[in-house]
Amino acid sequence: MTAPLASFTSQLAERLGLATSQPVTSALLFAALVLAPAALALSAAYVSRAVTGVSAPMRELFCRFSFSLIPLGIAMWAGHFLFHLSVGWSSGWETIRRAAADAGWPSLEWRGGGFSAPLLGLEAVQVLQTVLLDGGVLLALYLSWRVCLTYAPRGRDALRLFASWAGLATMLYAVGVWIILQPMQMRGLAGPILSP
Amino acid sequence: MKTLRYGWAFQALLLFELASGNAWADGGVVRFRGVQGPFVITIFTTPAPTPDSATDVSLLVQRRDSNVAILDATVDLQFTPPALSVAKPTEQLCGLPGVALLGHGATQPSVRATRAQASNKLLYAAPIRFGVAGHWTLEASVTRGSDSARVSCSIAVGPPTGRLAGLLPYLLLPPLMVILFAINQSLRKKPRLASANLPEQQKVNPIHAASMSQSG
Repeated sequence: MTAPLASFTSQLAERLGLATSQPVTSALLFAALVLAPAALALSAAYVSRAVTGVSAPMRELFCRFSFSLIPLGIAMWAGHFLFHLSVGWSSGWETIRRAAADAGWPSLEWRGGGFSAPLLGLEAVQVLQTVLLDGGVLLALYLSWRVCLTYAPRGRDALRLFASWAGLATMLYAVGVWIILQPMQMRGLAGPILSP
Repeated sequence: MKTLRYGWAFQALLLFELASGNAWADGGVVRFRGVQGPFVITIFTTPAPTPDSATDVSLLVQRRDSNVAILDATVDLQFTPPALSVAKPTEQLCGLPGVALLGHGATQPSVRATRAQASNKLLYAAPIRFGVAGHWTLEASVTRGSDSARVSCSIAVGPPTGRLAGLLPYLLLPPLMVILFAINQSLRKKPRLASANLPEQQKVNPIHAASMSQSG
């Protein structure tokens, strides 16, 4: 979770008088994973249908165009995974050594000591995350365009149909870039960290 | 039947989502784990510490013989700034309000890590704000009765996040590609339009025309 969101969650829980921020986290996750995507995609489907006058039902537009956004989602997931891989890659080797020692290979037993630094610097990770998002949004836009051409073979109509979905993909891309620029917050160990 | 399936899928999603409140993902990374005296000490920090946000530093102290977590130890943290960092006078290493503020002098007061500051009560935690980027050295001292131990590790503090300017060339890539694609599409469309405007006799397949000229 990013630091601003973690701070917002704990502050909201405090304001609501909750002992823990878990209900707030659940509510925010539900809003972010279910409500917001559904509302945004339905809005895009409604706008694209209203603007172009395509006779296809809104449900069909919603379903077909939503699939075209999958590359962007995969890119965001891959970017986030890359971050964790970069900072936690060395723990994999330690885990293998401990498992090997437990399995009866004492020569591999862990003797203690420090862990190595992240695989990549934070700036390099951010660049790679951005490139992944670039690829995701470009593929999403291309797929959306191909779907548009099946409904409106004429360029101008296709562009009108495309506009709302391109806007949605661009918005999700911008949110993704904002997220990768935020500091990551550690959860589960410290109590809520407030800005000094 | 389909509606029923969607209903089940939605309920499963809802249950999964409600349970996710207990999944404390994005935990800290292990910076150090070592046996020192009668203790096994593990140091965790925020995955990517930066000077612009508070960094959590947590310690797990266990008995060496049984690995049982020790909950009544006294844990003090001492931080040494990067040797080559050029620190401004205003840049400070500080904890939350109530924790001592530290400068960059040779003698620095230590920061007490407590279980009260940790949500996981097996750990001793202290939120720290690093003033500058670089490799900081953390020296943790653990005392319990007559037993004590001292361990140290390095914490790499990255440059401040939120630097959009550094990513600008990569952010310009999608619009550039979209423009190139649009140009490509319009150029591909033009010959088709030109071909559509030609009289029927002149619409000759170029491959066919070439073969005709060769045979002629």
